[in-house]
Amino acid sequence: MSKFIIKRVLICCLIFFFVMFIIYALMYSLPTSYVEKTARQLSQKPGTQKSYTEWLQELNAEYGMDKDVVSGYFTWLSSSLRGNFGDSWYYTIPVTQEFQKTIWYSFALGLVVFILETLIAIPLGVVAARKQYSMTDYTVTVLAMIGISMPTFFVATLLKLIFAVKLGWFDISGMTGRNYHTLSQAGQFWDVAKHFVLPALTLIIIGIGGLMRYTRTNTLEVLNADYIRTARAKGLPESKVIGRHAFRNTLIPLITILGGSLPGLFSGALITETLFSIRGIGYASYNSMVNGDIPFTMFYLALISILTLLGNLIADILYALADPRVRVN
Amino acid sequence: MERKSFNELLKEQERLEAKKQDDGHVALDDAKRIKVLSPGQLVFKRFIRNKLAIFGVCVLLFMFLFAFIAPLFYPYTQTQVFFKYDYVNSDYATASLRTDYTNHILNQDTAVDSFVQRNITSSIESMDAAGLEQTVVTAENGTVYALQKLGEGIYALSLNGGSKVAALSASSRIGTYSLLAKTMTYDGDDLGGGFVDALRQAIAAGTTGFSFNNQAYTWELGEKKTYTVTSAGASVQYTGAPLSGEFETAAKAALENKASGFTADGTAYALSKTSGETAVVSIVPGEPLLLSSVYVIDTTDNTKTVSEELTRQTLLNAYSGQPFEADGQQYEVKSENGERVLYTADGGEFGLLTNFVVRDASGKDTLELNFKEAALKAVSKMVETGVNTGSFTYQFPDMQTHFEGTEPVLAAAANADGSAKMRDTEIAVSFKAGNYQMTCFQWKHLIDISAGPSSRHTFGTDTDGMDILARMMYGGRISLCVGFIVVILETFLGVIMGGIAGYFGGWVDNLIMRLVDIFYCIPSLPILIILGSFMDAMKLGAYTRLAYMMAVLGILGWAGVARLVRGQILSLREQEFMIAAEATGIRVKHRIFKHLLPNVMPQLIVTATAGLGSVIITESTLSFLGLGVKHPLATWGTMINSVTSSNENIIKYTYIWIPVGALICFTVIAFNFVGDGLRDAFDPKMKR
Repeated sequence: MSKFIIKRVLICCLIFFFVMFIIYALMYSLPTSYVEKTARQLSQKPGTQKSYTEWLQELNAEYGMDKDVVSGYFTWLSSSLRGNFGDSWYYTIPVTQEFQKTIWYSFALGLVVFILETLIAIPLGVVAARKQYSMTDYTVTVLAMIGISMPTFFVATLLKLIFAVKLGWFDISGMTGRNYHTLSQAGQFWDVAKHFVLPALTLIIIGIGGLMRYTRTNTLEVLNADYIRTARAKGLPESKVIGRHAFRNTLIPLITILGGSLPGLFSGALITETLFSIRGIGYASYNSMVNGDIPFTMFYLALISILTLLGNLIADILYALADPRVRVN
Repeated sequence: MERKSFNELLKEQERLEAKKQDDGHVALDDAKRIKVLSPGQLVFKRFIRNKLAIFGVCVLLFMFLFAFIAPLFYPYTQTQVFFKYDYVNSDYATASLRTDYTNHILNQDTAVDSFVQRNITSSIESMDAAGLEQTVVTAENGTVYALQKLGEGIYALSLNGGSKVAALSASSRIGTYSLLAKTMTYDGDDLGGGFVDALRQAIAAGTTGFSFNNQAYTWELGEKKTYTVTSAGASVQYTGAPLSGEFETAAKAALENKASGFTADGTAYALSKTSGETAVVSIVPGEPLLLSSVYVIDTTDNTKTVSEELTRQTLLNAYSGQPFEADGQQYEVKSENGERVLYTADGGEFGLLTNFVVRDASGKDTLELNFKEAALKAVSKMVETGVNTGSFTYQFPDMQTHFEGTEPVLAAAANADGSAKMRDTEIAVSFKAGNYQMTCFQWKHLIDISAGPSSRHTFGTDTDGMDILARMMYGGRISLCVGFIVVILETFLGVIMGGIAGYFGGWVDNLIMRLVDIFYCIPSLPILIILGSFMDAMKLGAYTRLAYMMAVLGILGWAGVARLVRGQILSLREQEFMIAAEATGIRVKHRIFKHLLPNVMPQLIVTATAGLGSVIITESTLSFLGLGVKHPLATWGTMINSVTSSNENIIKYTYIWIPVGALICFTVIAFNFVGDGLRDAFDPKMKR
């Protein structure tokens, strides 16, 4: 087992090295004129502490943009591995500071969505699989498909129209209400929570379909297995067949992908956060990307890559833990 | 028994068989009871049993017709801008009271000093202030011009034909006379012994004034019997022959009053001060070189234009009462109710001279005389009451608008009896920066922006005045094209990479699979956003952007296909038919393309169909963020983005963004349903 994990970790490190290189090469190949132009524009913003040349010098020092692409990459890798990502051009504070400021909003949003999605999707998927080709099955399948097929921005706009504009239950965007500062501490918490409802709903609608289909497919596979037929043949009640024999086996692929999606809680929801102006990591990185803030963008890309790799790694390890057959092979 | 040939026997048997079948007698083990379907037919049969898949196919069929065929028959294109006439409140006219004089050059041959020309207004104003009819203006180079008032508001400038006739000097101290010393001390020139005698006689007689050489003098007693002698009044020194007494009196009076000119003996004179003395210049106006006037000609018929020649001649003859010729036609100016009206030779009214200038909003003189008079009345009232805003009512012809094809047409409305229908229009006047601005409701030719659904535009028009339905069609075209091109690109790359990895195995497989891992890990949406904002900054064209976007989507998307193809090939490679193919010794090329790839195709088609949906979502998301396909190309994403920027727009334009969003959703759902249906049809064992 430990050999398996070590091998996987080493492969991950190797992939990480090359992914970072590709990302670095992409940024490196941006025309100098573009980099200089954005640096100049951002340095003229009010409240900027550094001048245009200082930004570029810092970029060269920490990102090695003035060297050739390979040695420049090692310069950047060594400084970023030491946690030094430089100062954000757009936010004018160190990149890591901006990250700490925003990450917990994204995490909170992601966690709520993750929990709700799991709680709704898995039972629905199991029910749909048990009653294959029934009305319930078709409804669940079609709804799941609709959820998967809707673009995030369309769902978000529809929800805004219904709940924010027509019904007026929530604010259309933003994280705090108008009288946020006059509220008590508990009131402030509920105010922010209320502003998270629509983004969370959007993410659930978009994301729930995939998990539901996955659960249904895996449950069906398990239900067709020989041991279920055996369990039924020996006269076990259906609840026991489903609850003990089938569901436990369904859990193997489920915990794998759920575990694998845990690191994703930190990656933020790029489009949803932007549309609802939730100041999470996704919103921050969207602004930095659109405004050509290279330090923050590099950081965000590195972060997403690490999280994806970590997700894959966790999924692999969980799979090996949950299913001994994998370890043998 | 007749002997039959074998052929005949067979035919008979066939007949019997056919008869049996017609009777419905089919043996239980008859092969005809079983309908044998080809694999393709089987897949097709299983596919059409799936209702969701059929729904998907119908939707896709509709989308293709809508995006690729319908635009051929739809009259509008995606970038066509529509216009309309609307009754809106906007600037109609500007009026101003002209106070500055405009020069009209009469004689092109003789150049008038430019300084004099530029300062003509101040020269005229100072002449008017002095109450003079004529004056002289001296240029820096010494040329003397005569400025002559032809009448109210019209002045002529000519070379002065007169000359300096005299010099005037005001009263001045001559000197002092000491009675004790009996000596005269002159301040200036010695006036001779006779002067002292005359002075002494006057002192002896006790008269304070005395005369010498026609010049009056006064004396005043100072200390120690010293008398100060002063010449009394102005003195005139003639340049040529002395002029009449009337001239002298008038000249002296003018000097006393500090006037700039006077008239004597029917001739006008101007006083011009030079160092020490004041010269009297006679004014004899020559041939006018230029006319200076505040007046313009307002034509009665606003379609007629006034030539510069006509303006010059009219101004020249405005007060002469003489008929004159301009541009080969006879005109005459007559005075009516204090206004100068210009008539043509046939007695028709051509226009009138006015310094109240009314021009339409674009600065052209196209307005009716009646309107101008009404405007003058309103402005005069405003001036009288001292307010800055006012209004008046004027009758404009009432208009109606309708469409001829796509072009809006404006036509005059008519009453039941056929006469032109008029509409009372309230015109608001406001005084701003020296001008009187007149605004009213009027018919304007406008871009038909944000029009609601109508018979001409089923879904209305967008904020650029383009037809929404047309843009929906063309947007669908782009979305579907992007989807297909990207999927073809990523499938192509994926099949090659996955095929190589799966077929050759070993270190090649390992290398390519690590490459797949790497590409799996690269966050594609952030990279597309960066690319989009970079292309924004570089201001790339709409089609270039599209090409770049498709290329990047394809390059970032092949890893999934490669992984799938490799897995399939790995499992197929071990199967018996491949071993058989190898055993028969057919070439590698044929083994791959004839035996291996056809077995991968079902899986590929399923993935590609589902992939189409996700590419369309990605493309529309990018376009929605403004980083994908750009104006003027239409795409579903940008169409939604342009109408959902604010709360009000979300409500106001539901009829635009909900149908467009539904188009995206239905297309993607349909692709997913068809993909699912295909998968189930290809491999019923996998059916879930």
